[in-house]
Amino acid sequence: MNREEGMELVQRSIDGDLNEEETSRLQAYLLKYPECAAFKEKLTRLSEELTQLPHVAPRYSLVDAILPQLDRIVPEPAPGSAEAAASESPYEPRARRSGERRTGYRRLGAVVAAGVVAAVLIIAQPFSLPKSDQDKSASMAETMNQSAPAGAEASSGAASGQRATTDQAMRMEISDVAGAEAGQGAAKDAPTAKASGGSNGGGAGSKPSANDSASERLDLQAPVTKFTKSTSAAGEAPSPSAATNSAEGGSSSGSSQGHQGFAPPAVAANPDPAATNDPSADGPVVTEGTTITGVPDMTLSSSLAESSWPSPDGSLTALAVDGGIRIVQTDGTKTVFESGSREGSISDVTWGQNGQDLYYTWTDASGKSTDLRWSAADNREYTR
Amino acid sequence: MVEPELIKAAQAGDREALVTLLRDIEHQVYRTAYYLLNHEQDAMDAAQEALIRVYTKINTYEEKAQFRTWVQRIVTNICIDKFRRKRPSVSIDEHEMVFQAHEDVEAEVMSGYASEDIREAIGKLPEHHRTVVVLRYLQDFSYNEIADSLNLPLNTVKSYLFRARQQLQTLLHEYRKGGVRG
Repeated sequence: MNREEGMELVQRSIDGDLNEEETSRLQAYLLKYPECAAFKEKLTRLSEELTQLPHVAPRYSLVDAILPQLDRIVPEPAPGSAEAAASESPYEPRARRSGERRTGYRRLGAVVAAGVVAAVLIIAQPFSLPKSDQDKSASMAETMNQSAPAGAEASSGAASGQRATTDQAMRMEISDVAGAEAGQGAAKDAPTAKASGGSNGGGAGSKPSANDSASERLDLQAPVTKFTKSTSAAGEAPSPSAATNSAEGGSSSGSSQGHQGFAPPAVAANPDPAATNDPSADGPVVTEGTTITGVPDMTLSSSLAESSWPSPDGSLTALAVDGGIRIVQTDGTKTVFESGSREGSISDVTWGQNGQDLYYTWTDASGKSTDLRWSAADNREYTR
Repeated sequence: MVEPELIKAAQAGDREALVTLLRDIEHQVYRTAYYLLNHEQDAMDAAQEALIRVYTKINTYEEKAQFRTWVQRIVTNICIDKFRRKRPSVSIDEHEMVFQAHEDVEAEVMSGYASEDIREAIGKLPEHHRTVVVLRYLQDFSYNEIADSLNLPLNTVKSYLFRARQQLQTLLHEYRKGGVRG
């Protein structure tokens, strides 16, 4: 017996793995090589100490700790084997190769496999990649629709055209729900749309098409909310709640329900974000000559820059409406004064310094101009 | 020893049986994780992960394998994955040992090498050597059971174990020489 075989017997003897014949051979070997006998002594002692290592226990019940997690997990069905359960893990035999090399091969294999899969996908569906943008858009639209029901109709319209994907169907569903909520006046406020009110220059004057991007829809929804706020400022919306006003505005724009007063479409005329970011310039955002949906007589004669004039302290806003003047509280709680509609147009609108007077010029259909003044003191219109 | 009936009940969808099963194996799973990772918190994490995996994969267990080797295979795989990602192993100063039968074990350990020295030496072994030693001495597995757990050939298991013991012997001898222990 050579030294290598002898050392193996020593090791196996420690584990109690020798039969009688092997035990005899080992004893003969150890007599022949006393240094191996000493080594066996050391290993035996080490093995005993390893056997006596403390059987540590966790500080608390691990099962109790994971019970909440387990409540949410359903055990997988049976089909696999024990092999399958453990084969997910990284341990593999290393009889012939080092772990590092094996791991490296596996990683390389994973990269190659991923590349092949990607190539197959691209070849098989060359036009599928842009869809990711659509999906992204759809996702954003969903977010907007959920957060801003007032714009739901617009998104629904956008989705109704050309896309027939699952994503689209999902978006439609969400839009429908949101629209229904808006119709019931139960929709929530649209903080996102309000926050982006400064971007209402986009999408001017048109309903969103099926090709609109999510960002365009987002822009379109902003003026809806903003405009609705102005609408209520005009004192026409029956509810004092801004949230309810938003919902009503949304439903009006989509379903042509005719509230008295503004029921604006989701359009914007002022391309200057600064103008609309300024609270004092907060007014109806409409295109010149736009006929308000549901209010056929309400043709506005001027764009935003000409159609609303905030008072010096910002508490009141003057609006040029259908040839007449309307003064509303900027916070939307009520209409202070309304001259009524008349043929012609309003121009040269200026507030007195104390905000107690409003000066303006009415030009009738024949071109005759009349200088007028509104006085807060008695809430009347005077000829200057 | 986990009762086969308990395993069958768990596989049949008896959640209570499955939780009981987890309680039965909790300590043995933690013990392996603790000695493989040489860090208490890592061991808790790994053991929990292993228990969750047992829970989810219970239906993939087949009777042709021993349940305890199947369980140890899961926990060792998780630990190996962890300490491959996190090298080198953490200082042993960070954890406190929680003993079962505290007094007896401590008295026994004090008679030879300090258990901490041994644990530290185990932590210095290559991962496959360490795993074999832990299964051999902390789970009292035979060569065959270790081979089943780690899906290794029997001779490879022996080879790892023999080399591991020799390495441990050398490491602990150096500790003594270096004054780590008296």
